[in-house]
Amino acid sequence: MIPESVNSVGNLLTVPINGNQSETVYSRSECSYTNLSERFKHEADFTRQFAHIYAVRLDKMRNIILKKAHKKWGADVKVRKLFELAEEESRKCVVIGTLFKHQVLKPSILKEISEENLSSTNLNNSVQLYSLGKNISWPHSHQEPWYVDDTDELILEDELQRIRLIGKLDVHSVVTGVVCAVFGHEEGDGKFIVDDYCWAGLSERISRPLETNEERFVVFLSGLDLANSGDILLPLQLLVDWIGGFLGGTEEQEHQAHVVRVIIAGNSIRGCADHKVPELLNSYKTCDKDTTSVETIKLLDDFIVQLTKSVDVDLMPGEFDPASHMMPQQPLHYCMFPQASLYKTFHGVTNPYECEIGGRRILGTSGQPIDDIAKFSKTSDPLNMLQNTLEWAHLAPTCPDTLSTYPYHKEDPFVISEYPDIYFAGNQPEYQTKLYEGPGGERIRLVCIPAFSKTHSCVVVNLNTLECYPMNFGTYNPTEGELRYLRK
Amino acid sequence: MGTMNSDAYKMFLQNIEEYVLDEEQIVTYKWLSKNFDIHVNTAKQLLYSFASENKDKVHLTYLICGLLKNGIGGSVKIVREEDVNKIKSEFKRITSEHVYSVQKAKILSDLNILYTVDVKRDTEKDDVKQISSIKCDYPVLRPLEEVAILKRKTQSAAVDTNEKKWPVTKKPNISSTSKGTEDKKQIQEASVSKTVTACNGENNTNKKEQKKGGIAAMFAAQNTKIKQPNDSIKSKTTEAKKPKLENGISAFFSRQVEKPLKTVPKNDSGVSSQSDSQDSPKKMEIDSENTADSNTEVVKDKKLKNRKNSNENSNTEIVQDKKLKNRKDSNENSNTEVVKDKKLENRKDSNEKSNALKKPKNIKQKVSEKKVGRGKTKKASIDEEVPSAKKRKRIVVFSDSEDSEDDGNKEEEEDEGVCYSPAPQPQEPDSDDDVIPPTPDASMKKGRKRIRKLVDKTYMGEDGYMLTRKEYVFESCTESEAEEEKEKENKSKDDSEQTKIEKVSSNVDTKEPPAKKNTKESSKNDTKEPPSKKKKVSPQITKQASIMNFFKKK
Repeated sequence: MIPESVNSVGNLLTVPINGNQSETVYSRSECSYTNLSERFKHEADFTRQFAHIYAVRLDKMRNIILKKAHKKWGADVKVRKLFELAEEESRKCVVIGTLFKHQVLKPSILKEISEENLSSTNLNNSVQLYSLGKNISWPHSHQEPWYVDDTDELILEDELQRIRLIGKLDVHSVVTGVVCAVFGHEEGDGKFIVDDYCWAGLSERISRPLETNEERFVVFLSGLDLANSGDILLPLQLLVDWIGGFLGGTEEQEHQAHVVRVIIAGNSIRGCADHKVPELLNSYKTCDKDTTSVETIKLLDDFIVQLTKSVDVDLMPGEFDPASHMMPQQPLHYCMFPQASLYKTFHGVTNPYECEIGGRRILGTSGQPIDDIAKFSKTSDPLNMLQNTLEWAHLAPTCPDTLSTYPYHKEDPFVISEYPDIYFAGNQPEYQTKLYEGPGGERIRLVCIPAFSKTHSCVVVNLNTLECYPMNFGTYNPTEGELRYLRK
Repeated sequence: MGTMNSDAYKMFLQNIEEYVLDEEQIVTYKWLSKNFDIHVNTAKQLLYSFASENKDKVHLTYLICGLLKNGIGGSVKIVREEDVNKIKSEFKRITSEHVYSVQKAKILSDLNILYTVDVKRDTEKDDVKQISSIKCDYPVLRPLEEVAILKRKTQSAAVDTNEKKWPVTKKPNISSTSKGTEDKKQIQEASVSKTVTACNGENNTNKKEQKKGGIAAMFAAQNTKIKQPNDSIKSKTTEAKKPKLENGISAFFSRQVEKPLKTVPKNDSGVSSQSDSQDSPKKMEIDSENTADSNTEVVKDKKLKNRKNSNENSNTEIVQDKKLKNRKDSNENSNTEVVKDKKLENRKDSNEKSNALKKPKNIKQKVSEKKVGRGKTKKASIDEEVPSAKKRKRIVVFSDSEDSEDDGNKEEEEDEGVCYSPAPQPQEPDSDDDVIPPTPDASMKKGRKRIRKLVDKTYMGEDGYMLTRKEYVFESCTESEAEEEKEKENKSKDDSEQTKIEKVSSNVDTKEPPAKKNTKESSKNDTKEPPSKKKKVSPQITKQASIMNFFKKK
């Protein structure tokens, strides 16, 4: 029964008299930490248009892609801008630009307003809002809204012009906002035949030596959804006790002492939107509605404070948390966590979040970019989408098209200019992971963190080896038949 | 902690036995660790020892940790003792196995209740620290200075919201005073409605007549005040200014009687209004009635003085005085007598405004919140408590919520204040008896006023702040907004004027102009009120309007 490597399994099933060996107290491992999320702290400037973000994105990524293009198609390949294509007279060349995906089903505020004026002039506001949501149709196989259609077209834009893309590049595998280089030729009447394409890919290899060879772990969890799921309380308490060194035998506890950080990737308070009919602003109702959130936040505070007593906790906001909704989301405010904020070990961080722990670069989001890509492409596997965003070198290409963001004009904070060692996305339906190996031997651990409310699982990543495994918490309850038998 | 000797061991076992077998509780290792201040691992062992000694009496749950057979990670599970072997077969490798809980009950149909066991006891003993097997060698607690910095950010944000909200509250206060005047007007109208309308003449139209009646009542009160003026010229001047403001902003005052009182004392500096409004809510409840009473009285006194002093200065003033006189005469001989008495009293009591306030009837009539003297307001608050249960109720409502205040309280207060407003403590009793029938009219007016308050958009626009609850209420009444803005301007002007007047109590001329303004404002308010009521009738429309406003603001 007892595996060879674990000798202590039964040692707590003994009588605790004289010379008890089990009262060992282990010290929490320490690890260097740098928060690299400064670029996600935005200046709230809404005085500009969103077009600038595409301009700075293309400008920033052009140089990266240029290197990749020369590497792929040879140093002597001609790189042209769109307005220079006419001079090429259908000879092969490379064009670098931003993809735009023309989708018939994509929700458009202009379309909605025009339909609204036609159909429902006399309806009151609430009815209008409700009906607008139902005008959008999508296949039954998708629970989430899905805006993909076979008529979708790809268009490449550079600073001045746009051109339709036809050929090898699959329209359903990409989304609006991706910067890429296409190799091919123009075929008149505004079409460009694509023979090959290339993404920005990983940045050049960066040497990030590990600080020690001692084992250290980071625990990821997301989607606690405390407002809606009461049945996760015991599993969550077990998780907290497990990390805190209460549960398990002495070896288990020694192992847990090497957990240096817990990253909570969003949707801790709420995991899904309220499906109520949208309420008009009303002083009384908003008051009542907030009470559940307040209680939930207090509950979250109760759990987090247990963790912060012995380990660092990074709390990221999620799509449905009471934080700013636009990407990048700003940290949940400390005043919401009166207990946990007393501890140095509690960190409210942004979403997306980037940091370096013990020499390992960690980057990730609470999952909105991945969810948004899923709505506008036929890539159904979250892990593939996560890998795609890494190859596109962009955290959230659909910002600002279909994912709300701030109108950046000096920089695009979502560009992945230095590849991370651990790249995660929170609030995914199931646990998935992959060790992505780049062309230069880069090893990147991709992790889809499952929603804790659905799977009762967290993810443990070994910082040294980048090994990764999920940990499930729960109870083994007898079935109905067994219960009936027991009652007899 | 530490190594356990056999005595302590036996003692622990006895304790566990007591809890499990006698009290039939579920005992988890965590609870044991907390309760007896022992290491969690020792607690697990104690539970095991106890269970093995009482195998027939108790049932166990185990906690099993390990790697699953399917090779995709680990698992931590709580299982009943019957299922231990079954669950073990699912694990490839078990890393931990220990007793989780001991209980007498044989069947725990849902093991999730084990969570509630620990949580309940956690809340009972917050200060107990569990003894974990992992400790942090580095300091974990944030220095207090850092916590303060983190919270400072929040405070600054909160301050902003408060500032935004306060202006609204101020307005309501003003409205409450105006309501009080209206109420008084209504009461007087029953007897002297015609005279009142004639007096108001310039501003008053047919619609305005009712309101004007209220204004007339104010004037009447002023006349009484004029008789009284000796006591506090300053107070009268301030009151006169206030009443004017109240008339114009009557709707606002009617809604928030309490706030106006506070604002009035603060009126010396318009800026202070916010701070006053903040303080006011609590005080307002108690003081609103008293202050209102005192204010109205003061206002009347001031008006009376002003009128007496500057009857010749402005026709309007003369008209008002005449009206007041007419009203008094028409109302009852007793009233005129009362007025005289009041004047005398006021003169005598000018220093002792509190005494006048103490008189319940006088207080009610005088309650006109608009003019609440600063000093008087405090005294008035005491008096108000004495008056009638009705007034108290009203006051309470105001303090609790602006909305509630807006409707009934403001109107009532206004009525009282207007009728009794200045000096006429003696009058109040008489007038109250007479007045009682007309009060329903006042209530009607009050409803309108409330609506107005709800509608006020102007606060939003002027302040430039985001919407708050109170603001929303105001927003609902679109038409009233413009009025409110005007009122605010007038108030600010009035405040400055009042302060000046106080300084220059002798200057009658200065006093008169504000009164004119007030009457005009009141008339405007009256006309605007009806639309606001309509808006209230259709909640959806009002809501929509508020949303639109929100977008516009952004």
